[in-house]
Amino acid sequence: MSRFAEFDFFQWATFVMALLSMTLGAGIVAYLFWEGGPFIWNQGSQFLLGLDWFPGEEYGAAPMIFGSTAVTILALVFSTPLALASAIYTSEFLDPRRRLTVKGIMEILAGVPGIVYGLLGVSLLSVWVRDVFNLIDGYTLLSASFLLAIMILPTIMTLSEDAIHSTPSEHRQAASGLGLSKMEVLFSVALPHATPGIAGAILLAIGRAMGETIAVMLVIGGLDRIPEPWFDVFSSGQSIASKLGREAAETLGFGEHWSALMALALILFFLVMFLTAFGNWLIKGFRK
Amino acid sequence: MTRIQKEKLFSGTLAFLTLFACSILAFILFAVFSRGLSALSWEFISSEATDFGSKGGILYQIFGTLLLMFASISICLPIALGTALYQTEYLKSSVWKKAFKIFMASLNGMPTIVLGLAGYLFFGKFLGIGVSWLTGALILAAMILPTAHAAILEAIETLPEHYQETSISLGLKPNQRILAVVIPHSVYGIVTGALLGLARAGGETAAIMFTATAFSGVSIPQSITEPVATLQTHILVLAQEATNPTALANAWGAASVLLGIVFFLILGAKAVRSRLSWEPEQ
Amino acid sequence: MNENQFDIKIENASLYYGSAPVFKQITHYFASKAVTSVIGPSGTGKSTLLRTFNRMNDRLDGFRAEGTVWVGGQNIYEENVDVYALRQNVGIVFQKPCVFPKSIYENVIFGIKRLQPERKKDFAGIAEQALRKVSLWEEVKDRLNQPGLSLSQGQQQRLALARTLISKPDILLMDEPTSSLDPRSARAVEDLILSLKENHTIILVTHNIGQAKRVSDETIFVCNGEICESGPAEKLLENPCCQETRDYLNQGR
Repeated sequence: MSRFAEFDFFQWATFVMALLSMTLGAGIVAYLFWEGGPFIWNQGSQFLLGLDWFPGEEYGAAPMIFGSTAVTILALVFSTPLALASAIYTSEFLDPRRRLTVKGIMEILAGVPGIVYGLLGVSLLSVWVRDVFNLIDGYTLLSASFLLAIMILPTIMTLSEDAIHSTPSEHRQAASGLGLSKMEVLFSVALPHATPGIAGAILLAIGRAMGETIAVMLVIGGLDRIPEPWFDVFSSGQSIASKLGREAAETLGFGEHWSALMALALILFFLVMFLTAFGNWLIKGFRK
Repeated sequence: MTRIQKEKLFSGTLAFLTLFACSILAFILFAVFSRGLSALSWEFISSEATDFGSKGGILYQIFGTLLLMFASISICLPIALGTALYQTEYLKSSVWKKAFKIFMASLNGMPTIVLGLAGYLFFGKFLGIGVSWLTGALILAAMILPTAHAAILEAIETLPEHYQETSISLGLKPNQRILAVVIPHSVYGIVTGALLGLARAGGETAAIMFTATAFSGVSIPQSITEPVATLQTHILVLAQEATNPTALANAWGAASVLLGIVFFLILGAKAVRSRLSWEPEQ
Repeated sequence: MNENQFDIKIENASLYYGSAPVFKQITHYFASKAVTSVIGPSGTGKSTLLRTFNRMNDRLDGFRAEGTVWVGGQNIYEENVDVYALRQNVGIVFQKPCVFPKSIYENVIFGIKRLQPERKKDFAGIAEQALRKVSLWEEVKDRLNQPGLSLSQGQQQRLALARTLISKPDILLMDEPTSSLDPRSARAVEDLILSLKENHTIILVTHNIGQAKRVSDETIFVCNGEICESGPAEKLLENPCCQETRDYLNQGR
């Protein structure tokens, strides 16, 4: 490369901007490690497996880890069949114009702010859950997973649809040329082709569900306890994100309590990053 | 059952489920607007909140949300554009290109509550701006950076290679090429990125609830170190008073306004994406 | 013959893409103010060779040139070469006409508008001159403000040529400039090449043997990473000495 030196304002300006964003990304990750890392290191299993969380005395993250996992899995159970069914129908049975309409609807649905879901959850969903299942109140793991199911529906639907739709038309034609019906083409060609993409979509959705704070915080009940028995979804609970949302204000930046919260945040960050990276890798992998 | 019957049953079931998925949006719109529209009036959006939000309007909340949205996008956009340009036009090393991807992904994967808290410690505590709208705007700028960056990057990367080659072959320097080809072609990406970023910033609550907002007693901030009220946090507080019917009505009203703002921006981004791009080649 | 009479010479040059050499130790002096056509099987790096002369390959990650490449009396792969000035002196026309989604006029002055903004008031005259040179002026003079993409492919290619000629290059590189054109437009471009060689040194990559015969003075045949054969076009194309060249030419018939 030539060293023909000349001041290029753009090069410098864009370099500074790029440096800023890198520092921002790296800085926050570094901070989480710096603040939460030693805490996890020192407390170890006492933190990760501990069942009780009393600020100042002991910090057990198990109920939160359980809560996040439980609501996310339940949300997937509700959301995935619906999302896949509409993805398949949209990709395989709808004409291009209607297809874009459905995808547009999903895009808008994805834009509904978390706080609006929270409001719907507090004033409608939790009441229904309470009445239908005859509970004392409706702030339960189940309510939180219903909300999350709706929130991740567009993610799974849109990305899976892209994956199914990207099946090469030669493959489809070859299959339908053998006399296979639309449904048979779908199961023998399109779905196998789209499987990694669908898996990636689900992982990204899990990442989103784990990180969601406000809507979950409003309906999950805020109880730092693993339910008895553990599969009692009608019990209140707590997710990592909702824990952060509820308690961070009490202790902004100070002491052991804060370090414990940042340790939770670090765990959350790792989970989300891992799921997102793996999901993106699957989605890109099948495109090649 | 014959094959054809089976297929009919199958596609029928799928059609029903698809319709159901789409009707969720209709349900949300109906649920929010049917309750919110009764609270909405000129008076509601043009007067300030009283009695801790259970009475009065949401004037300063609207102002605060808009202020945070526009301040954050003004901070974010130059950084997103600069980063995308540096990455595509100047950066040669593939190792660094990968590093950029990883850091942007970490920023994108960062749960917003964590971003808010870490951002508060840095901007609010360390830089001493405190709980203020500027802190909030900076945090939101960091939050929407990956969104805006991705939209701009996609636009730049879809720039046909021969446009780049032609401008290089004419002897244009990188900065001249950026102005002549890259930016004009990417305008739609910049605009979509900005609109989607605005929509995300407008809908975000967790990142700003402890860091930028105060619930009552705030009007228009007089300096950069003062907090604002926002629609999001207003709804958050009112939602927790679910037993008070007037408070709840006001929450629905505020939610209608918020949904209106966010949808307007998303639809705008969709329209721009299809219109503003350079005409395709034959 | 004095060495400085050559606008372009390559001496012991090896071109690498990644670790594999595309060309090994090639040497050739290109005739000045004449058309040299480069022919050879697909995938032998004819375009890579062409793009070496204005350093367009710099953009490719992993491209490397060894040896010397002289353009206009300067070793262009030395340090401190002003590549931007080099590229203004060495114009290139690509296989597919590249027309920006702008007006015809804006397309013609695309480069000069950014490179010499201070000459703004001369642009109209310069544009007319360039369009006349490529015999496009009569066809477009009444619709300079219409989109460049409204022109036919052949016209678009001549427009691209006009845009290149504006910076008054001494050397023109042409990378299969007619392969995406219909025969009539292709002829028009060939006529242009013949008229331009009076003032320009032209290197033309082509797959069309007939075209090579019609327009070129010299021809080089490349294959297997080297220049197998070079010489006056007439002789090389009618009566090649090298077996590979013979095979290649026979395929085309």
